[in-house]
Amino acid sequence: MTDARVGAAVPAAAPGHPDLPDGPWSPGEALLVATDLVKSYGPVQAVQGVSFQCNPGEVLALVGENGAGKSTVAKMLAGAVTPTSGSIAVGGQPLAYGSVRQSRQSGVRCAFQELALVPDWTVAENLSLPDGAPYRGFSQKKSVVAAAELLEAFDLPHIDPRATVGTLSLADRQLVEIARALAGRPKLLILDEASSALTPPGVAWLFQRIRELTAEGGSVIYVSHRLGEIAEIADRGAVLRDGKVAGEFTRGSWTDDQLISLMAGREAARFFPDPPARTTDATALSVADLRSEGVHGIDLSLGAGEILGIGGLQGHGQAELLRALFGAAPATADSWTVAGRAVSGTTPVRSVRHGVGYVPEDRKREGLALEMSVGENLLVPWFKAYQLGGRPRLSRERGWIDGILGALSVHTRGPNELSGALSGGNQQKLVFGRWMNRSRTVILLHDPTRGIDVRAKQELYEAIVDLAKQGVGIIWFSTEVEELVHVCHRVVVLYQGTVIDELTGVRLTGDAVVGASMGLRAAA
Amino acid sequence: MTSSAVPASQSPAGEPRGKPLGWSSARRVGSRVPRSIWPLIAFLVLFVIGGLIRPNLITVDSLIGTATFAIILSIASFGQTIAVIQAGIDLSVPNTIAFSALTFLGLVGPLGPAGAFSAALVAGAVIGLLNGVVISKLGLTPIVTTIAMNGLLFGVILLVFNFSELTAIPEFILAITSAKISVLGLETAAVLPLGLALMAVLQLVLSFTGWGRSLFVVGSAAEAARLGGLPVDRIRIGGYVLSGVLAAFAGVVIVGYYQQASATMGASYLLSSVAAVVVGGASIFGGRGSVVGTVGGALVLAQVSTLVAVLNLGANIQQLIYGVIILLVISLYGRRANN
Repeated sequence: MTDARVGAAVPAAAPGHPDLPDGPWSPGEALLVATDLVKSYGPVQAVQGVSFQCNPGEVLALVGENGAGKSTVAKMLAGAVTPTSGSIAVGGQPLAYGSVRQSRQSGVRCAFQELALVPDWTVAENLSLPDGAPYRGFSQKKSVVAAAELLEAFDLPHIDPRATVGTLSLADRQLVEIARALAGRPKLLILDEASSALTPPGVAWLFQRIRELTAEGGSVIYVSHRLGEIAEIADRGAVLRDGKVAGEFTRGSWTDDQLISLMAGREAARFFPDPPARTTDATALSVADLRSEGVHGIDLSLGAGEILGIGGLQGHGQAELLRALFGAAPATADSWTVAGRAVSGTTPVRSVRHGVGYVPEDRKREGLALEMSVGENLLVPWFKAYQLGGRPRLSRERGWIDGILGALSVHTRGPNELSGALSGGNQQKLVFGRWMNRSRTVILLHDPTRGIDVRAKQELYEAIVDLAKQGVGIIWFSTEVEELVHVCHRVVVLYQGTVIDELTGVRLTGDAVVGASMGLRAAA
Repeated sequence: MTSSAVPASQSPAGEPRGKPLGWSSARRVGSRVPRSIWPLIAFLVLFVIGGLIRPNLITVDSLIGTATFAIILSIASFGQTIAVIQAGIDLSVPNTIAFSALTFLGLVGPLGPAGAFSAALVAGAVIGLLNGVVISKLGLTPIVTTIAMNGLLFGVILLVFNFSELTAIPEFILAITSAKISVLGLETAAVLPLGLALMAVLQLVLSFTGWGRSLFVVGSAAEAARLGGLPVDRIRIGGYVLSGVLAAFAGVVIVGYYQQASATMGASYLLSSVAAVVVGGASIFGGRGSVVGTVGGALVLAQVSTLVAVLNLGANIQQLIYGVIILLVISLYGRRANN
């Protein structure tokens, strides 16, 4: 560690050639040993005595529900969080707690779900950030060349190193974040929900990189909710529940249902509810030749009580379609009706008045006021300037709020708790719940189950189906093909801003959705 | 191995080390106390310190004197509070004060006191409307827009107003500001109950109306407010209009209390209005703040200026101390916001 600290003062090496201290570890022994990790935040014990180890060349999965402590463990390994007690050793040497820099010097790199990129910087600047010693000159030109080489080496030629990160799609940002972590040729790579926004080809890309890394003797800690991915990539795994290790598993020795029961601590099966039978032919929303930025002429018709899935690869116009339909982005259409009423040039304010609700992509930035209470976040769309707000309004709406919190089983101490204190899945439930039982005609969902745990997903599926039963039309963009196939009446797949295929009935299969998103129109 | 672990665990870089448990539990208790209480505690501490230096400072009269000074600063800072809550700032407060005060005095002759008073408030509303429209519709940053407005107003003041003939101050303005009244046997200037009443009304609006809560949502997460279907631009513009009206009201109150007006009468409120809001616990990043807290912040600043006067340090030192206080408070509160 002492030499690592000296190393901190001299300029760090260029990307791809880090001067890792050669720890005295031999390939036979464990690369990472975590012993009795404990982390408490005030009265809350996020992690209570977690021990595990990871061997060189191994992919270790950490699974568990939201709030089980996975992210805290990952952050402790990355040096971003100091454990309250316990020890971590990498390659036989104790890890410097609470110092990301020292962790990195020991060969530990991390890609987080909550992206750690600077949105106003270019891809090249973000890629050179971790190794750019502040005392060294910075050359735009060199960084762009280096970034282009790096992206080329990692098989990401479609990302422009000069592009500002904020203009990239979430999936591309995640790819950049992963590439940045990989650029250090880590001994230990931690992927904390790093695949949550990736589409199937993106995940395949990630697995390719992981296999390259493990072939060189590196290890990967893979934190994910996607059991399919874990089945494919993980050699071993540990299940966390309530901050403790609830069980371990090795490749091929488990089923989805077993793992879910282990995570939930109860018998639970992965289960998709069927879409409810439609009782009416009424049209909730119809739009002809909708054009907006990234949307090049889309015709859609949504029936009342229908669940319409939107599929396709990230960046093919799904996000833009939902924003345009809600009026959050300027859009024009030849004809556009909501519940039979003509609409033109809508805005979010008017959309809410017309009976449209929208669950945006990024719950933290676009969905919630994190410094405000749970109850007030539910009420955001329903604040009227001249009516009551604050606590009197909360107590007046108590029945509705309690109904929503109960129906979605939101884990909260009550409507007055700050929404920022909730876990990601519970925050997502708030963004969704604010539209429930508010006589909506159409609800637009942007991947509401991204990065939330299995139980929360199940609760959201049921809530979505319940809404459809009440006659609400639902447009649901999902990156999980299984959700589209199982829970939707009909799926529309977008490709380059237009509808490439519409799948329903027997044609609605996972292969058909994936095929269509690659631009192949299946034979009818 | 052991020897190499020691420097690592004392690494100066990165997060603070694990703190003793006592600190975290103290912090837990601390976080339950409403934020607007802290400035009041700070004020009491300063009051006692003043008493230790000069025992004759601990009197009801001295308290009322400080409170009167503080309430005038508070009235000038209420608008600023609203601007800061919605993640903006209103640096046009100083010259809005001067402009409305001079408008009031200039129009008392032709329009009468009530007409002139309304005209002053309308002037403030128009200034706020311009600020709000430029910020929300044209997308300029609040700091640039309002500081430009402040400069523009100063030019207008110098061009329009003739300082040689300022009329006498109307009776009813004196009655609500500088007139001595007796409350519960204590003699105070009328401005003190006036300011407290205004505080109560504004706090009720901020805490318990849809508009007030929308203002907090916009300040806390503007994009979330927009996608939740709130009329963000309208709420923002409304906030700046209210901020302008309150600054204009402060201008009239200051005229009434000090019974003088000049082009630079608002200048000292540029720093001190921001200071009162920030010391009062508002987040400069928006979404948090209260007018009760602002009154507490103003009390702290007023007590500081009393101490500065007692110790004979001079006005320059007072500005310096205000600056230090702002930095101190922002560094304290800003850190908590990150956790």
